[in-house]
Amino acid sequence: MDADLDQLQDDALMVLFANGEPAAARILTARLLPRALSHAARVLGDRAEAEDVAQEAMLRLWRAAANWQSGGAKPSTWLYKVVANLTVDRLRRSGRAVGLDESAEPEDDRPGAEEQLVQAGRMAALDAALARLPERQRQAVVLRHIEGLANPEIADALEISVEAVESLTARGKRALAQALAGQKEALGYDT
Amino acid sequence: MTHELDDLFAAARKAEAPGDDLVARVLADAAAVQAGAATRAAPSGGGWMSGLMSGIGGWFGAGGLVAATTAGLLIGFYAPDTVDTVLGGQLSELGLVTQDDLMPGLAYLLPGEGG
Repeated sequence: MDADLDQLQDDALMVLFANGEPAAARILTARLLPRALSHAARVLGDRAEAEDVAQEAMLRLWRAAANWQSGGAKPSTWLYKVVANLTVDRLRRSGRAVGLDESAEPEDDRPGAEEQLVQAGRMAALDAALARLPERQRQAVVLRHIEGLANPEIADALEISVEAVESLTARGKRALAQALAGQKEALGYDT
Repeated sequence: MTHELDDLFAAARKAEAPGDDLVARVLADAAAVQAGAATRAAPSGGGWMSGLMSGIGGWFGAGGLVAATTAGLLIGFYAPDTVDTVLGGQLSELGLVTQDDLMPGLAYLLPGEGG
């Protein structure tokens, strides 16, 4: 049953979900939850908070299913929009910056621990650099370069023009490159 | 730094796989929403017109309501003696209408009058 439904587009699955099909929930969760979590984690720089946001965004998606217009907004774009709003709310409420020491530390005795440490250090550095970007730049850079959305999709999710997206992503990427330029060696890249 | 940045983006893309616990919480929310929707769906289906029609007894009831309303309008519009004529003099026989009344058929409602 899941294999058959797996062929369907997200918006068709939303209609099936509204009709009480539990497999639709499983497939939509498999497709969309990783994106919501990744988006929230990179913007917030905090895994636990990102999980709360991702769960809340998915709950709103479930609640929206009953009135979902097939052929209208894509569920994934709709979800990115919800995550963007939820993360902005949290950032504004807390007014905090993300520190390097907030990312998860891998256990040292596991195989490949050194590689994981390097990787964790890189993610922490990326999160810290992202945290210094203005909110809109951060959202645009995450959606464009990490989530891989096209500019019109980002424009839809952030409710801005495509030109504004292009400007935000260009400035954001430049600022990130500058922020990380001095850490190439520390991050394990050859200088 | 562009190459390194692209490498960081690629690593970030793979970094956040949801754990089983989060997936379970999300699916539990989904099941709760589906269960709630199933109990709420029945009374709200069909829209306002459907609710209105069932409230007055369906289309058959609506037809009766329209006929009664039309008859009421006609009776109110025409003078009582005309209605009496249409009804074959039944109002006259009951003493409710006389041909020389200024307000035929209403005199019995006034204080001190007959009826």
